[in-house]
Amino acid sequence: MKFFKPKYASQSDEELLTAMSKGDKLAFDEIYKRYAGQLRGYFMNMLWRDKEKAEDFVHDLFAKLIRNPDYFDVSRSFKTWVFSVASNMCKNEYKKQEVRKNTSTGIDDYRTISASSNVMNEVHDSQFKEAFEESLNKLDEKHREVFTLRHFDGLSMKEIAEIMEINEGTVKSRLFYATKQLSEKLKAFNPALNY
Amino acid sequence: MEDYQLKILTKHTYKGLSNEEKKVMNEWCASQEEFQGLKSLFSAVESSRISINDNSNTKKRLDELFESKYKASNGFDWRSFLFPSGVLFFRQPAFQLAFGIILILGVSIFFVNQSPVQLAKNEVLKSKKKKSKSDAENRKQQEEKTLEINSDSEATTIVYERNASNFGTNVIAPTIISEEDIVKLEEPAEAQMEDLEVNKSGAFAEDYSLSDDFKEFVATPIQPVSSNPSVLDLLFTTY
Repeated sequence: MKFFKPKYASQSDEELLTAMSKGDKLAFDEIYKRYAGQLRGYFMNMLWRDKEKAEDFVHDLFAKLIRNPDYFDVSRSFKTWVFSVASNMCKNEYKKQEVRKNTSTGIDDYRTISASSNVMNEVHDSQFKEAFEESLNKLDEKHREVFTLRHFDGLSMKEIAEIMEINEGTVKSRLFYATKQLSEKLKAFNPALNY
Repeated sequence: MEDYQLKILTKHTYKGLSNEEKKVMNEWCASQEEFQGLKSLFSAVESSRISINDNSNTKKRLDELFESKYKASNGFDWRSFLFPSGVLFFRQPAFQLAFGIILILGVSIFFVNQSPVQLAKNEVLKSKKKKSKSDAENRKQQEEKTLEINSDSEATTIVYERNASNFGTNVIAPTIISEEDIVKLEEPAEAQMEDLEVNKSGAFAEDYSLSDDFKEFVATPIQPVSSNPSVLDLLFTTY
């Protein structure tokens, strides 16, 4: 029984951010607990299943938040804000890779190597899983992002639209396209599942 | 894909779908083949989601960053010192300090309320008590002496107390009074005056100045009843 202890779990993200900006460590812990896993998954899927890169990106995002809590726009919901920041970080990374592709090796090569090596590093036993991840990586950014946000991070269409700054109709059409593409590729793979 | 469509996809087989469910899913999969393709896709999504675990020291690094940022800006971390996390409220230094302050304040208020005038009075009373005690002893000795003198009669003593203002009149109200009162009456007038003055009732003391007759009366040794039976008649006086 703990008296006078604030219930962080029941507080909203915005309340936690306010407490965190005043140096409340427990508020930061709660925010991290809520979003670190989701963001890690998002970065993993968006950055060619590169786990180390995903971890670095998670670290960078939270470090930004610690260094400058005012960076958070209070007029928006924290969830959509944090994913839009993550989305922008990924876009910047794509641009970096694009430059690298033009100067030295191609981005496609990087993606292929990174994806295959990370898939090997991950605890993925089945070929089916590998095939899925490869298929996801081969999707173009905008379709992959919508699919990831919807099915890995569990965001609603409205939230995705807000994060990507597009309308809900576009989100639906991109999601439909991405799902169909992945489904087509996995249909050929035919995993050993009993229905 | 909406949540309810996902539910149908993950919980049912194509053959087990009702017509309504098939209608709902028609947008996404028109055939059994497509249904199975989608089903396997979402099972892969589920397994990929589970495999993402935090096994790095990212949190540790962030904690260090957080502490360095807020300790540097705030100096000593009073908040975490006074309200340490995971500690019962009565074990928190803030609570203990507050309790200590309340205790000190309470005790000091208790002592402040005891005015010095009251203390002086108490001392006077004490000295008076001592004095009256020693007087009482003297009186006892005197009484014993008197009793020895009048040993042939029983030691029944009646003291006639008179109101100072009525002394000398024909009305005498006999009363048996306590030893203390006897002492009071036998006290020299000067001592009584002193006591009265100590009690800060000077005006009253003036009224109580005893006449010579009364002093004489008090000084007279009390006669036993047997030697003066007419006194008994006074006890049953009817008016």
